[in-house]
Amino acid sequence: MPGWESDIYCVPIIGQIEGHFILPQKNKTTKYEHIIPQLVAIEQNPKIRGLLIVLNTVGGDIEAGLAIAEMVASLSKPTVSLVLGGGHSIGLPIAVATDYSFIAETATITIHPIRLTGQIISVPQTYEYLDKMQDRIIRFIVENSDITEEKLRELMFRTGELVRDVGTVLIGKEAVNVGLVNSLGGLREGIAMLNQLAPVPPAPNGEKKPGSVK
Amino acid sequence: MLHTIYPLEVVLDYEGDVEPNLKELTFGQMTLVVERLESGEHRLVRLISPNPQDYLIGWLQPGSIVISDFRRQI
Repeated sequence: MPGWESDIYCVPIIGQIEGHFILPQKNKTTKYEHIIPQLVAIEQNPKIRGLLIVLNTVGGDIEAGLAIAEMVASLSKPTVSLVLGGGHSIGLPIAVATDYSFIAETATITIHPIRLTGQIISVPQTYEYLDKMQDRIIRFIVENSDITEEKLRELMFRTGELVRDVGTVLIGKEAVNVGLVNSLGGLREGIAMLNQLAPVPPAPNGEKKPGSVK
Repeated sequence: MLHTIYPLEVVLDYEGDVEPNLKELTFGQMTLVVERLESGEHRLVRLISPNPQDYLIGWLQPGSIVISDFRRQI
């Protein structure tokens, strides 16, 4: 119904997560500098009872992705994520940052190591830096999901699955089986879970609102 | 640093990109970074505001067409 204001806020994370520099125009991007204050507003706004994050992303800027993931994880309001299409690379920390995560049956998550390209100074410190960045991401995923660090590293460094890289592609249920995502599900399940985590109190005049408890 | 499944040479292909014609419009505490399009309209590139609730306003999302004399869209 036009004009009906939702009390659930939906944040789509799509395309490339754009961070410190502007990507070429042909990329579809999620601008993290807009998402971050939105999350602050969602935390503050008394009319919003929960957050639904819908992901169909190919990854992107590591620090922007982690910033969004940390903000989502530290929201006091109930949060649910829904991975549709893809939740690849740095999209995965965002997917697991919520209170509950769903993945559609046909959605995929690619887990692979981070790469440094372009001109690098080939000294041990460069690789230590890469290692630290890698550990940061692994630590966040392990702390916010049911996967073990051992299993995550095994998936991340597996050879033979990806054409141009080491890593693993998980489809739907596989992501649930390894403990990364909570359940298979779609929109119906995502909204139902949010209604469960953040029930709508019945209106004072007895009028039943969508999602309200009986 | 990008962590993505797309090859970086595809993501970072700036060929054909035109330098955007950006302007900053300030209204009270709000600053709109807009891009002037060929049609004469202005598209919002970035919103800068100390009030987080401004970032929830529907027609102030990046990519929206905002008119340069800041008439509110209904």
